Amino acid sequence: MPESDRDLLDGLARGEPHAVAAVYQREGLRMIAFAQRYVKDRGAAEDVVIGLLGRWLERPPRVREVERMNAFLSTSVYHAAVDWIRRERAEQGRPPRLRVDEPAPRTPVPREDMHSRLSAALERLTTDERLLLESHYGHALTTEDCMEMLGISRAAFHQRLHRARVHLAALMAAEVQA
Amino acid sequence: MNLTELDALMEAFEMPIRPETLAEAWELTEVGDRTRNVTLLVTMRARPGLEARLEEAARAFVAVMTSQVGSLGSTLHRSPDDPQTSYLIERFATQEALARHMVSEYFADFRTVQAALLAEPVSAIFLERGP
Repeated sequence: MPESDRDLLDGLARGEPHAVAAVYQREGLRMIAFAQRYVKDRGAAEDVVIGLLGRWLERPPRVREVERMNAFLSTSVYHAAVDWIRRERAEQGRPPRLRVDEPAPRTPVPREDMHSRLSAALERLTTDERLLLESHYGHALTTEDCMEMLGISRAAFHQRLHRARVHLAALMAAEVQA
Repeated sequence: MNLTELDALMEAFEMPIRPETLAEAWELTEVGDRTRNVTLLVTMRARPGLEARLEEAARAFVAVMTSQVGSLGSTLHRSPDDPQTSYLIERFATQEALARHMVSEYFADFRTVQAALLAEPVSAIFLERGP
């Protein structure tokens, strides 16, 4: 009898190998396809997902009481993919993202403070603007995904993305001056 | 702040992605065809006091296995709760590569070494089984 999402999530949280196996058997192909959205290469996506399974075995994930399987997997695989990209950047000699104690570029504001100002500015965007920027800066969605979700053409996507960037820049300017 | 400065800022800070956006992306993800890969999760339980020797043998086995044609790599993981338990995740390009692995000399050697170190027989679960 197939196990419920809740049973599997609880099993993962207890570090049970059969739960890790069951999640992969059920969702492995989607996990790999999802990782591939970010790391681009199929082989790298497989490495990301298998690496994630290994980490679950060594450090069982924290699973929130009300969490749904898809929400848990999408967040987990996304962060594993981002970690992989960071390691790739480091191996290629590209600079890592800033450390918390470093100042942000071209501003006298400490990074930690700038991070909270960015979060505050993002909160003031509309849901659609946020989605466009998550697609553009975070690569969370492809342009086509975003167009489909918002029901807009490619031209409208670029127009609205530009307006969202202008809006965020204005909000950030106000945050930095505040 | 102009757009160039904004882009530099966003390059330095990772854009936080809301869980609901990731859930949407998950739903929109098209699942590709099943691959021919074979992936196995092997659980090993060492006899008390022999954990380090089993780990050493397993690491040597992983190093050899990873260099074989048709192997996509193998990783060793320790249970966080039970020091006697460890796991191997083994990946093969095809079922044929797994079959070659099963009859290989290095695998036979590892099984011989393991026999003296294991508290119970290993268990293996297929995570993915090629056609």
